[in-house]
Amino acid sequence: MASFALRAGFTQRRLALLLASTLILPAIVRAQKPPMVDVGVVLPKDVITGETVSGSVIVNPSDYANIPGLHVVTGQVPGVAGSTLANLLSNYSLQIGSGAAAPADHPFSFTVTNELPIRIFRTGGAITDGWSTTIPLSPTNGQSFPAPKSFSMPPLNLAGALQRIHGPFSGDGHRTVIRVNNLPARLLVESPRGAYCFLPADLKPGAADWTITDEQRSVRLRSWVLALQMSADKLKLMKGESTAFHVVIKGVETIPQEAWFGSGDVPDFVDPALIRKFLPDFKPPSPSQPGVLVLTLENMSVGTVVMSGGNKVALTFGYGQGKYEHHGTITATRAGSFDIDGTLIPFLHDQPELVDNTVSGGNNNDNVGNPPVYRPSPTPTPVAVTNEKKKKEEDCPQRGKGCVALVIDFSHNVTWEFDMESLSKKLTAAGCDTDYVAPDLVEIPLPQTYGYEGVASYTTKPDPKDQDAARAHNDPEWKKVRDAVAKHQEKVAKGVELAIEIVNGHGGPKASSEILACGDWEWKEYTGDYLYRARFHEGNYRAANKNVCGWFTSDFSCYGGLTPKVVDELENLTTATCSQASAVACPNHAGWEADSSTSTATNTQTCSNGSIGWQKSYIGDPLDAEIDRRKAGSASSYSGLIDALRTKAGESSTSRYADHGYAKDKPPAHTHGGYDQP
Amino acid sequence: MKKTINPTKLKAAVLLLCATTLLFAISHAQQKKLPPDYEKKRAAISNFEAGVVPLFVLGDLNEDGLVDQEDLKLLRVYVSHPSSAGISCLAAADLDDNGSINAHDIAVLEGILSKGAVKAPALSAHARLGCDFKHFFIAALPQGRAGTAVPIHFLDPRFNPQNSTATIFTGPATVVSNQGAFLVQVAKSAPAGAIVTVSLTLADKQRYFYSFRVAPAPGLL
Repeated sequence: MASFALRAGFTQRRLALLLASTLILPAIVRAQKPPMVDVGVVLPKDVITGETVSGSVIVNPSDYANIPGLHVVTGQVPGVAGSTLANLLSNYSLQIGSGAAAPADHPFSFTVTNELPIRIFRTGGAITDGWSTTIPLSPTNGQSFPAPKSFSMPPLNLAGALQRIHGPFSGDGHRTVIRVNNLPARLLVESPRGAYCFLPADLKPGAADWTITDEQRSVRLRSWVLALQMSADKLKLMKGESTAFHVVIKGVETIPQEAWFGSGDVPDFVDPALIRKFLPDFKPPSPSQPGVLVLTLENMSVGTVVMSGGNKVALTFGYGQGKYEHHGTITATRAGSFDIDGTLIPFLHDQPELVDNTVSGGNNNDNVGNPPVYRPSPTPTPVAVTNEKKKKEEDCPQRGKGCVALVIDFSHNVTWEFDMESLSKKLTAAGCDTDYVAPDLVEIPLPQTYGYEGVASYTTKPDPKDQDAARAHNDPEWKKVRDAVAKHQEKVAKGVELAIEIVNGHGGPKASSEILACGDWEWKEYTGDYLYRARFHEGNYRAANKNVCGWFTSDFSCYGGLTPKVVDELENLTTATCSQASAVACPNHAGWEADSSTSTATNTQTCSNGSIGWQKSYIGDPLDAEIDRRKAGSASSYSGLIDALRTKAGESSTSRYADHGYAKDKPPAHTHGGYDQP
Repeated sequence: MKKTINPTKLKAAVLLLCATTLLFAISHAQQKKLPPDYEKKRAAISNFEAGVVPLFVLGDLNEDGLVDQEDLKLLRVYVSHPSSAGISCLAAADLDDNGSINAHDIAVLEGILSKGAVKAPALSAHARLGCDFKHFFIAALPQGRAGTAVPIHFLDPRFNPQNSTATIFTGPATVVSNQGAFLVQVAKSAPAGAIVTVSLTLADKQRYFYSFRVAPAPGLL
């Protein structure tokens, strides 16, 4: 599995990693001795004694240093006046041992022994005017490198970038011809197990048809070329000034649905630490799960600007989204320019050889006969199974594992407010393992002024002992809430058919700080602590993601529309910022069958006491029906309740998000309303 | 066999039942501090913003509309021999707002009354000690966060924003009339803990002060 990392800074766009060879070296025009230039020898790592393998001399060795399949040895040669990095090596030759000299800008082949003596010298010049080294090799007996029987390659590429191809190559790069959309691809290294080559730099985003000819064999593969474009309306900002920035991924829409399955692995080129940094709980989708593209954005100018959504943002894209874009805002905390790095990481399975005549463009013009082709397919097409087994396999993996619910009720025993005790009882009656948490909170007294006309007003002075006592009373009550949340998430993560969370209380609006990105819940007065929506729902999503058939959340509080909004984000973008526009990325949905979220308020307004009272019925009615079904013995699963909560959520509540799950959202059908879009 | 009913026993049984019912009612009311006609009153505020509660007159223990010597007398009696006789709004006796009623509350009320008749009493939202809300006439949020609005609603149909006025007496806020209510807009820059006091003059010329605190912002604990 390969990947690519495109890092773009707005002050100076740059293609990092493997595209640096296209950068122009400042002209070496000094009349004096030209400066030394870093070069390197790149070899495949999987070398076996006696085999033929191929390597290359390159001018930017540091770009290859972290690629797992490559062995890079660095040195220096004198620069050449008037040359650039791109054509420097055309002035040099290379010699393997005492063999014949060959152009240094072409791959070289050799038979593997314990070492590789190589000399690089100026063509037509003194053989000592260059660099020579003996590269120690650590060849194995071959048992560590199983030989592939067919060709395969990662599905996505960037024009001009390096591409890995698995396959039974000869190892001799002189015999290998690789063409992409009928354009030649430059070979870097080759072994009998695979090769690395550069895609043509001028490929357009879209499908790319490959023809690989090696000795007497020719095979065809298909991949898709993407382009990651990053731009900002302004590149320099004054303090306090904001500008919009835009990230557009081109070519994704051409990837067919059958290519959108995972591989179960982190791509070769990607440091797993990068994934953990942005998405700590992310698991690469398996071959039977929908694949995703992860776009990470990092603010590299933290002292100068802030980026909407936070300084590290991870966005996930899946099949069927109308647009593969992200638009945000950058605000300067002090005057200056800035850098935002973007990296696109595909979690898709490798593409196998094509076994029919589906290659388009008539590019297979290498006039080489096609031998019989081995055709194992890593595509996740299910194998033939019996109808019953197939039906079972096609059902939700958590079917029959019950329902768990968490009800956090800040309004229990609070005069004038509606509580959730009755709803909690209904959940229990419907068979849900329900944790009902109603913290017994008290106000922490703070100074309060009262005024009487004609009399000096007076301000109360709370006794610090009373304040401490109130805090001491509240702390364990808040702990009960947090413990219940942790316990609930633990239960959900083990796999349940239906996970439900309901919160009732006083809701706060979103604010600029990260912790308050989606607001909070609290008691009616100051108690010293809060429950934060973004954290709460993000934790629940992580627990539920691919571990449930259905996930339902409901928020009975002011500004509660922030709950369906953040669920919408988590379900499609996997992050909780309450600042992103709705997107459709069904592989990110938590539940197999349906996920939904409701609230009694919009995301920008308060709601009435009464609405909390009567909107309870939107959950209560489906629960009553489920209770009846269970009494009648006609409920073998929670599918009916999951569907009822989804439809009720989609139709009735003041704000709502409802969709089918990751397995059922075909075609994608998301219902949402009651919360605004940025 | 003839079956007779002993009138004395029957009376005792009825009394026991009444006493049990009364105890249960008191216990229930004390537990949730519910005022009479609670459901009716809750319905009356159900269309207001969640969190809005009825206000009571601080110091008006018997809810006769005045803060006077009669209230002081009731307060003294209560502190010496805790009994709610004559007191319909015990929360109004907690003048220092510390959740209990003691000699300090007497001292506060004595101080207020020593300056003469109270023409514009204070309204409070902190009814945790219980109140019957005989004067169920106005409701508001008990606190507001910087940048948000604290609504003040009329529960008595005689009053509305057209025949009544609300002005900011002190504090970082402005007030406007909006859809049958006053909206006190707390300044975005208002610091946590700041007190906003609104002066209300109703159609019957009675004036009140309502003070609320700017709530601490979450995440800044």
